[in-house]
Parts: sequence; C-alpha cells; structure tokens
Amino acid sequence: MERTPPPIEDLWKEAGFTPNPEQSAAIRHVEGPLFLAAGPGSGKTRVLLWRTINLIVYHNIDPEEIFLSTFTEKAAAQLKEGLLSYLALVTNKTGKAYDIAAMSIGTVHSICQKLITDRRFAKNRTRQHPPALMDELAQYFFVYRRAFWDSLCIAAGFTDGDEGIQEVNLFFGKLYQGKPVKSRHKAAVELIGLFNRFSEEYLDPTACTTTNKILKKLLKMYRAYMEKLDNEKKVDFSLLQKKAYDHIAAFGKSGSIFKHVIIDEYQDTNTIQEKLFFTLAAGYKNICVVGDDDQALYRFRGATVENLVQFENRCKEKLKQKARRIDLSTNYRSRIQIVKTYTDFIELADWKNPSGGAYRVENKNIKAHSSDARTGVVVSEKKDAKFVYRDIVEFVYKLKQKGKITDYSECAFLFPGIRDNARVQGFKDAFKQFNDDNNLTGTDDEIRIYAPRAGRFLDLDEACAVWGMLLLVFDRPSYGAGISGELIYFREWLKNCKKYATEICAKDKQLANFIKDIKTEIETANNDYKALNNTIAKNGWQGKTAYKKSMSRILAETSGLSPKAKRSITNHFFNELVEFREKEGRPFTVDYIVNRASSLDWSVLDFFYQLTGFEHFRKMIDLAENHGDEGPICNLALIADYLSKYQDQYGPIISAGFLQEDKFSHSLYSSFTYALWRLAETEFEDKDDPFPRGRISFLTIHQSKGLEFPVVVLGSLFRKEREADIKEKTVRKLLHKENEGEPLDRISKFDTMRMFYVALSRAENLLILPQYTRGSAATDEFKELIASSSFKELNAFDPREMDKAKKHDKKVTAIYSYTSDFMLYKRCARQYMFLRKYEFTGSRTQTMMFGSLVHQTIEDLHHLLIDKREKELPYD
Amino acid sequence: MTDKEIEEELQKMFEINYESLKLQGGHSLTPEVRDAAWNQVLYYFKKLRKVVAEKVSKTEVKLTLPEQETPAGRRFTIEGIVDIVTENEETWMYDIKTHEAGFIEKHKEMYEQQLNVYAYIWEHLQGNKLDHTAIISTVLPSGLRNALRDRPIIPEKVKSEADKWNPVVPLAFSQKKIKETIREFGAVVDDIEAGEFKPATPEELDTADGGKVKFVTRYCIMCDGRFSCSSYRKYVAKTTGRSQADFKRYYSVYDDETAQTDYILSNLNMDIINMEFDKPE
Repeated sequence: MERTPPPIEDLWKEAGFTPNPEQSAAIRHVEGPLFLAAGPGSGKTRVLLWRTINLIVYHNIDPEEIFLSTFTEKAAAQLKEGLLSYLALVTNKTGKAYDIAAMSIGTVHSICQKLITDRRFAKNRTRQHPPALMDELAQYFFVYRRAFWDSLCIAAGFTDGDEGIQEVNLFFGKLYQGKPVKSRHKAAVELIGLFNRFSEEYLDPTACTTTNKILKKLLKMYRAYMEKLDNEKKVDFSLLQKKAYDHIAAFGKSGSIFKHVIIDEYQDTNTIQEKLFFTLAAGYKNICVVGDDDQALYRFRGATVENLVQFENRCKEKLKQKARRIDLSTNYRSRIQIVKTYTDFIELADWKNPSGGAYRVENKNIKAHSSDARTGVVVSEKKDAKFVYRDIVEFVYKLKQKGKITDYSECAFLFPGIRDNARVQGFKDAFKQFNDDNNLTGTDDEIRIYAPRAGRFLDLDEACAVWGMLLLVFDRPSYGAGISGELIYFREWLKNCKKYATEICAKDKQLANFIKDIKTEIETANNDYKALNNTIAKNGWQGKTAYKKSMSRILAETSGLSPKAKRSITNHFFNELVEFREKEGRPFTVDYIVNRASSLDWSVLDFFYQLTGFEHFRKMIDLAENHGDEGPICNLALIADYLSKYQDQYGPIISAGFLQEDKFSHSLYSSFTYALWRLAETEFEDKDDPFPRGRISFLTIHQSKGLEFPVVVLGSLFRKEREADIKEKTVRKLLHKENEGEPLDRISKFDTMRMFYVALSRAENLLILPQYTRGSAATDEFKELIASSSFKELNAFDPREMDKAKKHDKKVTAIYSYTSDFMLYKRCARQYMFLRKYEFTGSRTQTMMFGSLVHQTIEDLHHLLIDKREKELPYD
Repeated sequence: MTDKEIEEELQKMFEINYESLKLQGGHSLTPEVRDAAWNQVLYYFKKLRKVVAEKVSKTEVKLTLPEQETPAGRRFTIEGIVDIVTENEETWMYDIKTHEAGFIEKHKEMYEQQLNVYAYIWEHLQGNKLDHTAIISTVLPSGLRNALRDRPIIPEKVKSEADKWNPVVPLAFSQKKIKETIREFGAVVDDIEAGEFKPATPEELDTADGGKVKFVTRYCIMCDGRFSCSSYRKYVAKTTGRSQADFKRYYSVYDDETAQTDYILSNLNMDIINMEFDKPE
C-alpha cells in the first residue's frame, strides 16, 4: 500500500536544507515559463534538484516527461545522485518507487543523442540507428586529412587543396608578411570553427547569399562536409544538435512529449539549442531556465547570452506567455566584502542599450548571506611584477603554515588564459625560487602547483618521458632538411623527449634491457615480414592475391621465419576460418596474412602500462598510493587517455606492414602527436582536469566555472581587447542579423567583464588581487575598482582574520554502488584506485564500459518486452 | 513482433547504448570486446527469454538506501540495481551480472550478502513481497563461446552448448548480517574518501577461489595497474623465481594465444596499414 508523502518541508529538514523565500518560490513554481536569475553561489543546484523532486513526488510528473539539461556530465551526474537519494527517502516513507532511468537528464549533447533515437519522436515508434559521434579530435582529423581536404576544396571550386588552404587562411586573416599562410592545420582549425558555428546557427548554406567569393566557396565546403558525414552516418558535436532538432521538428507533435523543460547554465546556450528547447516546450509551455548572464563565458564556442537576457521577450513571442522571474540573489559562498567587490565590479562597464534597456539583466540586487564583515579582499603592494609574485607566494605559504588552509588544493590561481601567459610563468618561477630559497624543494613542505594546461601538456615531464620511451622503440621519421615553422620546433621536442628517455634508461638497467628486448621483437617482426614477402614474390603472388589454405604450408616453410610467425600461419582455428572465407567467396588477401603473422603482441597503450612497472614511472603511482602528491598520477592518466585516443584513430595493432615506410611513426608522431602539439595552442581546454591533493591549481577562468575555493588569487587583472571574431561577423551578415545582439564593437569589453566577474566570485574567504606597476597591469575597470575600494594590502592583513578553511563536502550526497564501488574496493583497493579514482583507460578489457553496455541493453530489452506484452498478444 | 524483429531491435538498442556510452566516457571498445558484449546480450535473450526476459515486471529497479552515515560521519547512499519478475504469485529478484556463473556458485556467500541488503530495501523499506533471489550470469560458457567462433557456425553445436548453459544461480536470502554489511560498507566509504588504496596482498593473489582459479589469474591479468603493483611484482618474483632483472616474460601482455588470435582478427585493419601519410607541414 502506498502512503501519502510527508510535506516537502519535512524532507528539507531531513536533508538539512532551509530554503530562503526565493528558493522556496522557485521550487514550488509548477506552471508556465520560469526564469531563475541565479547569481554566484546562490544554491541553484539545490533549487533545481528540489524543484524536480516537487514535480515528481507532489505533482505526479513522470520522470520520463522531464527534460533537464546541464552544462557538464559531471553536473548531470550530481543532480542524478541527488534525485536518486531524495526520491529514495520518499520511497521509504510511502512505499512508492520512482525510476529516473528514463528521464532525459544530461548535457544538451547527450540528450540530443537520446532524442534522435527516442521512440516517442518517431512516427512508427521504431528507433533510428544513431549516427556515430566524432569528438573534437576526430573531427579535426576528419577535416585535416589530405585526401578529404582536397576533395572538400575541389567540391568548393578551388583548383586544388593548396589553393583551398591559402584562400581559407586569407579569409580568416591568417597572414604572414601579408600573404596567407600555407598551413593546412590552421585552415582546418578555422574552418571547423566556422562549420560548427554554421550548424549551431542552423544556417542553411543553400539559402545564404553573399558577394564574398571565398565565403561562397566556404558555404559549398560546408555542404560537402555535411554530405560526407551523412554518407558515413557520422555527426560532430554541433551537427548532433542540428540533427536532433530536425528530427523533433519533423515529428510535428514534439511539444507534447515533455511536460517540463528545464535548462541550467542558460547563458551559455546557443541558437540551435534555443530552437530545440522552445519546440519541446511549445505544448505545455513549462520551460524553466536557470542562469546568470554575468557569468556567460562561451561566446567563442557560439553561445549567445541573448538567449538569457531576452528570455522573457522570447516567451512572449514564442509561447505567448509571460515568464515569471525569480531572482536567486543570496550568495551563500563568500564573505560580504567579496560579494560587494564583484557586484561593484560588474557595474563599472557601460551596459546600456541605446534603443532602451541594457545588454544585461538588471536589478539583481545580489547580497551575501554571510554576516562576516572581516577582510575578504586584499591587494598586493604596487610593485614590479616579480616582487608581486614573490609576495603573494610567500603569503600563500604563510596561510598554510598558520593552518588557515590545510591543503594547498584549497587555494587556486586563476588566469584569463594559461598558455604562454607571462604571469603564469612569473608565478611558476616565483614558486620555484621560494622553494629553493627556503630549502623546501624535495621536502614535504615544497609548494607544488598543478597546471597541466599551462604550457603544452606534452611538455610536462611525464609526457616527455613516455613519448621519449616510445621514440626509443619506434624512432621518429625523418622530415628532411627543408622544413620550417612549427615542424622544426616539433622535431626539437621529439629529439628532447628521446634524450630525456635515454637519460632515464641510463639510470635503470632493467628498463634499458626491457627497451632492448622490445626492439628485438620489432626487428623479428620486420624480418618475418621481409621473409614472407620473399616467399610471396618467389611464388608469383601479389599482396592482393586471394589467400588459400593450401598456401599456408608454403608460407610456413619460409626460411628464417620466427616460431611466432610460423604459429600464426599454421594456427588451426585461423585456418578453418581461412577455408570458410574461401568458400564464402570473401577470402583474406595475402597481405593480410603477412601482416597478421608479423604483428606485435602489444599496442602503444599496453607499452605505456608496461612502462609504469619501472621505477621512474612506478614511483609516481606509489606516491598516490601512499597519500602523497597526486599530480604525476593524474598526468599519467591523461597520457593513457591520449594514447587510447590514438588507438581510436589508428587501431591498436602494430603490424610490420604498418611499420614500413615509417607509416606507423608518421601515424603516431607526425599525425597524432603533432596534432595534439599544435591543437594545444588553440583553446583546447575545458577538460575535466582533476584537482590533485597537495597542489595549488592554476586554472583558466573558464575552467573555474561552477567551482569555489577558500582562497583565490587572480593572477592577472588584464585582458587585451580584441576585435569581434570573424565567425561572429560572418554569421551575422549571412543571417542578416547585423543589428541584433550586442554591438560588435562592445562584445570584447562585455566578455572581459563577465570573465573577471566569474573569477572574482569563486573565492569563499579570501580573494587576492595583484597590483603590477608596469606592463599590462589592469583593465580600466580594475583600476577604478581598486582606487575606489580601499582594499587592505597583503602585509597589513592579519591571517588571524581568516578562519581555517572548512573542508566541506560540496556533494549533496554521495552515492556508492554496492557492486562497482563496495565490492570492487573490497576485492582490491588499488585496482579501485586505478579504475575509479584516477580513471585510467583500460588497454584491453575496458570492464566498466563493457558492463554498462550489457546492462543498459538488457534493460532496454526488458522495456521492449514489457511494452510488447502490454500492447500485443503474446507471439508464437 | 517476431524473434527476428526483436533481435534486430536489440541490435539497434545495443548500438544506441554504445554510442551514448562512448560520448559519456570518451572511449570506444575494440571490436572483439564489443562483439563479446553483443553476444552476452543476444544469448541472454535467446536463453532466458521464456524464463526471465519476457516476464520481467520491473526492470533495472534502483534499490537505494539513502542517508546512511559512515563511522567517520560522512553521509552516503547505497545503490543497487535489480530486475523483478512476478509470476504465479511468486516474486523473484534477479541481479544480472557480467561475472561467470561458476564463480558466482563458488562465492555464494559474498553474493548472498549483497542480495540480503537488496532484499532488505525491497521488502522492509519499500514494503514489497519477495520469495526468491538469484543472480544471472551473462558470461557465455567457453563451450558456447568456442561454438560461436567456429566457421562455419554449426547451429546444432551452438544449440547444444547453449542448452547446457545454466546462467541462473538461485541464492537464499535472509535478514542476517544486514547491519554488519552496512557498517562495513560505511567503513569502505571512509577508506575511499581517505585515499586508502593498498593492493590485495601477494598471499591473496596466490589464493585460488574454490580450488581452481587464482586471484591473480582472475583479476590481476585484467588489471593495467599490475605492472606497477607491489603485490603483483612480489607474487611474480616468488612464483616464477625470476629475478626482478628479468621480467620480460612476466611483462608479456598476452599469454593466451586464442585471445590474441581474436584480438588481431577483429582489430587488424588493412585500410589503416595501407594508409598514405604525407609529410607534415
């Protein structure tokens, strides 16, 4: 028997949640559009969570009828955990069980994937095959590869690929000494950016007109690109959204599937997403958006903050309804002075819209919940940069010494950009100097930073060591004499890695022997390959010749063949397969057999894991196991991730045929690694990087989105204003939107203000601002802020004013699975660490994904059968 | 819907799930691992269609024990997933696992402990009826796996191997030891949060379950962390008598030639080998 649930207030009490009146109103809002203007640290995750609980438990909304999108998978997972936990609380009181498995909750991308195959949007209720999704790296290779690049260029009307490269670079202003650069890499990166933007703007290339001759061709390239993807049943991230929109738009009744459409981080959504949301909400009109325009960060990826700023108007226009606006304006994160600082700061820019109103949601009235009026913001003395760095470093050290922070990971340094930033380097050097001066280097007290994206990831010690070992085994291909530009530097990097690995081997005889053994193995494979090809030539066969079982005896008798290759050729099971394929009329080729017999037993990822057995690498893992520095192990996990991405591109098998003509080393170094090396120069960031224990994190402000730290140092108060992005200009022109949105000449200022607003609002107890005397010291707004705020200087600040940073669990609740946490941990805690804590990518078994795949599909099967049983008579 | 149609639909669902897991995790499976997963799903349907699959009344029921507290005072929630079948007034709770049936038989106690907690949530907290619990193993027995590798496939052989297979392991359940299990669970949560990650001991690695397969063979061989693992290294040094200076063999990645044959078969791609690489710019 199901019992009535207790009032929601009782649940809040049990969960230790006391909502303020605005939060409570937002949670209880059920009908009609809702706009939640949520300032920093205003508890919006809890509001979203409880609002969803309210809908499910008290308004009988089936979880399947809810669409809830978040900005990251992590945020979605957190919400899911909260929902599960609180719904279970209800279940245990009422006996009514809830199942959120069918709820559309996740990032917009993952929900789009679901929508495409969702039976409810299909006319005959049969699911479509999903398109294969290319991630950013795969998309890059797809466009960059010579053969496809050339065909794209020719489809667009260029004479050849080279002309295409130059014209594309000309269009994007990639010039050197007044002439377009000849880099296909640069052209591909720019073009991909434009294609993505086109897709996100839902731009139809056949319907656009332009007088720009190159742009005309770029539109043709976009068409050819989409056709090619269609043929191969692939999509990129941007087209996935377009596909999903087309899919639901074609259905006709799309507005009547979801009773509630809820979107978090609405300020960072784009045009196609907005179309999608409003289409889905057209029937019930229950669209709830949550966000903060002042924290919009992703214009460079096509996000349009207007979606949020104009939300109330769009509701009137599209849904013919007035949206209710509720401001979540109480900040629960920071001290009063910090809140005052960032609210004052954002007002310093001119947000006025000449045709009335503002380019920003006004009258937010953000206030601190904290009553702690002690110092929350300090500035350095105004000095030459290197002294500022030193003072701040020393101050941070003092905070730790005095126990105000218990772990360095409670302190974060934020920068507008990490790469090639002189401030980042300055602070890094200052830390090093400080460690040396105070004899901390190598001791437990050494201050370590974690900045895997500062500089190239590939320049990190761990990466150089691993790539160096690879280079010792598989040498780099020769690029000849006439190379220039980046390739020279890349070759230098390869050389240095190899040198570094040689040094490591010199200190570790076992490792040196291991490498030697591996090289012998490769030599054997190469010899087998040669010998087999001799036999083939002698018999007058060709590589493409159909392989017959009868040929195996001749091949196996090849002189000088290794036992391993011989076994491969005479393998009983395999020969049965050969015979079978022969009969079926799809015989193997001779080439295939030769490569099979001469392939290595291991992949690059296997090799990587073998390396971790040797001291140089092993001690990095030991450190983590023994509660030490987590930085190195985190980097190793990232390396494993990259190597598995290589294998996604080129497969795991290294065969002797692939080793010929440097093909393999071209694939690994010249293609994959070089791409990583070069892409690192673009904003290839926003990875879910870890925050290792014991280290101070250096983050980009973008990476810090949604995070908070007891102590925040803003490393730089300046960002150069830039001209509006050419993609922005192009798209506006093509879509005749020149007069819509924020004026092109103010975009840069607005974006800079918003970015620093995010940075300033990350701090809980203490925010530290540097004051540099020279160089690009600060933006005008920062200068004004500091001049008018009388912040205390570092040396005048008494650390006693700071409370010890509380280690507070941000998680609403932590869910542990009986099997994949408890049982796995009990079996072997170290394996748990490998798989679940640092998430090393498996080389062969990939147990986690395997299990999920089997379980989810069986679940789907059950649903199908339940469905069938309810609808039809039993078959047979 | 005919069997064939269901199987086609199943294939589609499999692909959909694969693509979406790939998106979430950022990784793909190698073809042979994918095929193994597909075979488990397909044969689950073929084998258990009548007994379980068609009768499931509630699938992937999330059993949640919320707001527990660890010895150190952390709040946590335990989660488990089961399928429920009600037939002739009798309710079965099934936990579908990708572990081998033989292994489950030998570790009944461990799985019983798990099902006891699940049964407690289902019966006592949620007030449902429960008569039986069982584990279903989706791992195909080696006979069936081999029959499926045959070319051509001999349907009779596959059928007879499939008939021999018994994937359902019924387990008794009781309310014994629930509190201890939950307490132990809490202690594990504390250990995880405190970063306690010591490996199983070399002695444990050397211990066989139910007299047959050693821990090291079952788990370590699949673990990429083994090369750097102190226990694994000690175990290898002890059992092979190899000095640490010579672990070329111990480092071999794959000793199993059958597995290696399959691995190459599904991963060797001539298109990649024949790819042309132009000089980088």
